[in-house]
Formats: sequence, C-alpha cells, structure tokens
Amino acid sequence: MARVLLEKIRKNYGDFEAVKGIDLEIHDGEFVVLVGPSGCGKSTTLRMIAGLEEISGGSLYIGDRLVNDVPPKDRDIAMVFQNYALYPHMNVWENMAFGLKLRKLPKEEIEKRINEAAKILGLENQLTKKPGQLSGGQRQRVALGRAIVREPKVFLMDEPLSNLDAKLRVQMRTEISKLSQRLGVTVVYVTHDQTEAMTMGDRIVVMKDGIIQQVGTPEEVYHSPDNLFVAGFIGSPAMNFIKGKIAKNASGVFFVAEPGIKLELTEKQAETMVNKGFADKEIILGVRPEFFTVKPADNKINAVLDVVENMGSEYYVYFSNLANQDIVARLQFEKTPHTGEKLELGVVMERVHFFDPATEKVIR
Amino acid sequence: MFKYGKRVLLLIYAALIIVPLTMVVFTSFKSTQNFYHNPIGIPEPFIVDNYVAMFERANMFTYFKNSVIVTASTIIIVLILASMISYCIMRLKGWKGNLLYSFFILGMMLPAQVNMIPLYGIVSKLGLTNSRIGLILVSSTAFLSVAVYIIGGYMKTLSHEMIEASSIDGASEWQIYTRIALPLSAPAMATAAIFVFVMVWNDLLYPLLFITDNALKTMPLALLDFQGEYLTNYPMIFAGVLIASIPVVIAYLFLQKYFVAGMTAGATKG
Repeated sequence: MARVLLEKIRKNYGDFEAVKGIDLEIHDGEFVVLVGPSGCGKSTTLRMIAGLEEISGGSLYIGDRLVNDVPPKDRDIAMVFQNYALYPHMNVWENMAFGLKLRKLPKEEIEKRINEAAKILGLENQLTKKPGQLSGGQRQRVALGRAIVREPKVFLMDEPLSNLDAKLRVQMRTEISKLSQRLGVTVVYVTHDQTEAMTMGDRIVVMKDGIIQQVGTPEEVYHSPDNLFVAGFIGSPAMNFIKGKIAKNASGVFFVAEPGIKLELTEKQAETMVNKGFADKEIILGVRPEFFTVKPADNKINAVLDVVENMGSEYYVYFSNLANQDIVARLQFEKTPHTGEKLELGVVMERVHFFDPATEKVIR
Repeated sequence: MFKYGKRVLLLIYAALIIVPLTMVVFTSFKSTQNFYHNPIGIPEPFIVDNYVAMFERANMFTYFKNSVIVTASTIIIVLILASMISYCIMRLKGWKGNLLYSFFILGMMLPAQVNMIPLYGIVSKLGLTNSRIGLILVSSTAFLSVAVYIIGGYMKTLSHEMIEASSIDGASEWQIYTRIALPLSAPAMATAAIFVFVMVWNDLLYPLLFITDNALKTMPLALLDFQGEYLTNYPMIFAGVLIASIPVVIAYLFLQKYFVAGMTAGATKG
C-alpha cells in the first residue's frame, strides 16, 4: 500500500496539452475514481501513473519515491485494462503466474498466491482453461487475479467494466468494491460512467479538458458541485439548468425565468446573492430532478407533461411548455400521469444551486 | 446466364493449368523418341527410366540436398530477423513504426533483376560466390521483406494493452518478444515460412548468378543442364521438375490455410 502524489503533472502530445498540470494526492488505502467525458485526460493520467506514458512535466510520487523515470515494472503497481489484456496462449494459472515467474518468486509462493486469489475470485475450477474459453466476467476476474497475486502497492484500473453487459457490470462493481476493502489497497480507477464513480469511490476526481474540476467524496460532488460541469456530469438524469435572473423587490428576492417561473429564494440564498452582487443579474439555477415536488404550497411552476418514463418505483417526467428550459423531474404519482396533463410543479429551494453564467462557478 | 459464364471462364482457367501439368506428367514417363513422335498423347511405352537416370546419372540427391540446405537455412534466418523487425515495428510509436514497415514493403516492390549487378559485385568482393553461405545470405535478404510484410502485419494486430500488461507484469522487451509476441505470431510465422520456402525452393535467379560449381547447384539450376544448345531432353527435365515440386505440393496440401492467410496478410489494420 502507498499513497500516490501528483504535483503539477502535465502531458503534451506535440502542441496539444492532454493533461494540464494537475495536483492530486491519493491517500494510502484509498479508492479514488477519475471520472469525466472522453478526452478529459483521465486515462492519460492513469497511464502516466502506470508509467505507460511519459510525463511531460511535474512530479509523480508513489509512496515517497519519485517515479517519473521509473519503468512500469519497477513501480510496484498492477493494472487492469478495459479489454482484460490477458495472454491468450496461456491458461488462467499461467496468466496469473506470469508476473510472479518473471520476478523469480519461489514455486511454493506462486502456488500459494494463485490459489488464494483464485479462491477470492471464484476461479478455482477455471485455472487450466485458456482465456478464450471463459466468459467476459470470468476474464475480468482473471485480470483482477493477475493484479492481486502481484501484491502491488497500487492498483490501477482503466474502465475495467466497460466491456461487460449491464447486469454483470453491476455485479462486478460490488465485487471490486468488496475486494478493495478486503485487501485494503490503494486503487485508482478510471471510468466515464458516473454511476460507477458514485458507487465505488471513496473520493471522486471529476476531470474535463485535462483539468481537475473537483475532488471530493461522492456526497460532496453530488450535493455541492463546484461548477456547472460537475453539476451536469454527476447524477442521472442530469441536473436541470434554468437560465434566469435574480429579482429583488419589497416582498423578497426571487429567481425569475421565462415562461412565468418565479421562485422565492431562502433567506440565506437571498443574502448570498445580494452580498455577491447578483441582484438583477443573469444567473443559472441548478435543480436536481429529485428536488421537484408535486402539489406545492408555494414556488409553483405551471407545467405540461410531455414525456413520461415509468421507472417502476418512480417516474421521469419531461415538460413541454417550459420554453427553452429542458427540464426533467423524478416524481412519484399514485397513478400513471399522461402526456398533456397539467401539473403544478414545486421546487425544493433549500437544495438548489446557483451558478454564475460568466465563470460557470457555483455561487455559495 | 452470368452464373454459367463464370463457370465457363473457370473451366477454361482450370484447363490452362491442368493440361500443361498433365503433359509434364505424361512426358516424364516417355522416352525422348516417343516424346518427339507424340508430344501430347499418353506415354507408349510407359517408362520410368527418366526418374532412374535422374538419381543414377544426374546427381539428383546432391542437388536435392543443396536445395534443402539453402532453403532451410534461409527460412530460419528470415524468420528470426523478420520476427525481430516486426516486433520493432509494432513497438515503435507513431509514424516511426509505419516508416520502417513501408521501408520493407518497398523492398518487395523492387524487381530482383534491378539489383543483379551490384549484388554480384558485393558478393564476389566478399568472396562468397560459389558458396552455399553466399547464396543463403543473398536469399535471406531478398525474401526478408515478404516475411516482414506478413509477420509485421500480423503483429500490428496484437492487442497493445496486452503488451503493456506484460511490461507492467515485469517483462523486459526481450521477454515480451519471446514469451508474448513470438508465440502469438506463430500462425503468421508459419505463413511466412511457407512463402519463403516456395520462393527459395523454386528460385533460379540467385543460384544462377552465384553458383557455377556442379556440386553446389540447387534443383532448379540443375534442371537447366538438361537444356542443350541443339537438343533439349524434355522427358528428363520434366521428371526433374516433378521431383522438385513434390515438397512444394506436399507443403501446399498440408498447410493450405497458411497460404490463404498469407494472401490476406496486412489486409486488416490493428
């Protein structure tokens, strides 16, 4: 186990800067998820930690050792790849033993470690099979096994579940979480799937365009996003953004937007907005789909149902009359609502976020 | 209509191959006299004298042995070098690998006749004319590019992540080459081996250029001896041709799938 420290890490491909000087400390035994859309630099960052990509600038420490110029095999890391990257000509046992044999471990030790890993991963009966004879889930387990037997300081995982079907992905998600807790190892996990990030990570690192947007626990990133990007990226369905204005009059401070949306701010919000000079200024309101209510006492929005998606326990409802405002709400109804139905929609104002349209940062 | 047209075309094509081949087989069992009287018909009498003479009078065993030594040595050298070069092509990042690959493909495009004179100059300066080693070295360089084309094209399709996984597992470049890339490229190596085998075994140009000593001649070169200035002993030549082609036919029968693989090598990009 070891901490991983990234200081001003950069990666350039010619003139293109894929990772733009990021700082990040991953604590000993922590499960950190790098998440972001394609091309955000998350995989490049992971590959730099692995030593598969040269670091263009900055310092990378694993434990207390500066590893910028240390080859992958000497970094004491193990990596699990998206397409498993198993050796197709070797059977499961040989796949797991490969790294140990290269390190010239005694035969008994190799045997012991593989048997333990196979037991943990339920691969005891598959040891003599070749990867081609295994299912996707089993192959991913072998890839995990190959990493476990090495007993590395740091586990690196590059979208390991992307090639699995939905059901197996959920199952493997919990298995990897359990495994990391059981082994107590440091894990750096890359994914573009925010559900994986939310469910697996002790901390989430949200990236975009080679820059870290926010680092925090899943709760922090979900409930207190730092900016528009994080707010929109984390959460499914995504947060609703409504463009409007802050209006102040004798009866209070309101968020006003077309068509006819008028929501009164809480005292604290009103104070912040006024103090920070956003009165009568353009602003973006962020509301998560679950913070809409039906039959509200005040802060009403008159909405017409457009599309209703029945998710079983709840409904995802889209509205047609809120011009330009693409809004989805997670609501519960006693009986299935219909397209065209009129609804009074409320907003839980305590849980909304305000963003500065110029900087896209949250206003707190 | 189109279906029948296609069949007729294929029948004509088949005839173009089968008829001369049948003539070669028939002729090899004829006496010279019989051949000049009746060049196309069935042998009358049916004799095996040409084959017997091949081995008794014409040193066929020596030529066969020379061909085997030259071909086998060339295949071994070509496979070792081509697999190493292919590994480099696969591992070199970006345009460098493609440039190296293109360089070898360029070698395939140059006709052998273009190099004949400078090559002869080099080989004779090295004192390697009339030696098996000289012929083996020349053949190896000449057919290396075909092997690189086949093996390199295949190695490029190997999973990049798998190679990276092995380097994280602790393998050095040499270990990745010998324990991962090489075993996985076995089908391409087999294909390249067969292609090189057919080309070297049937090659006439290089033995003709560099070998004059009768004891060092390979089969195709030896067969030329039966062609005289005034009279050509066709039955004898054809018997020799048939003997020479036996290994190729056997190879083709057993390793057909690798021939086909070679035809499409490099067609898919990794």
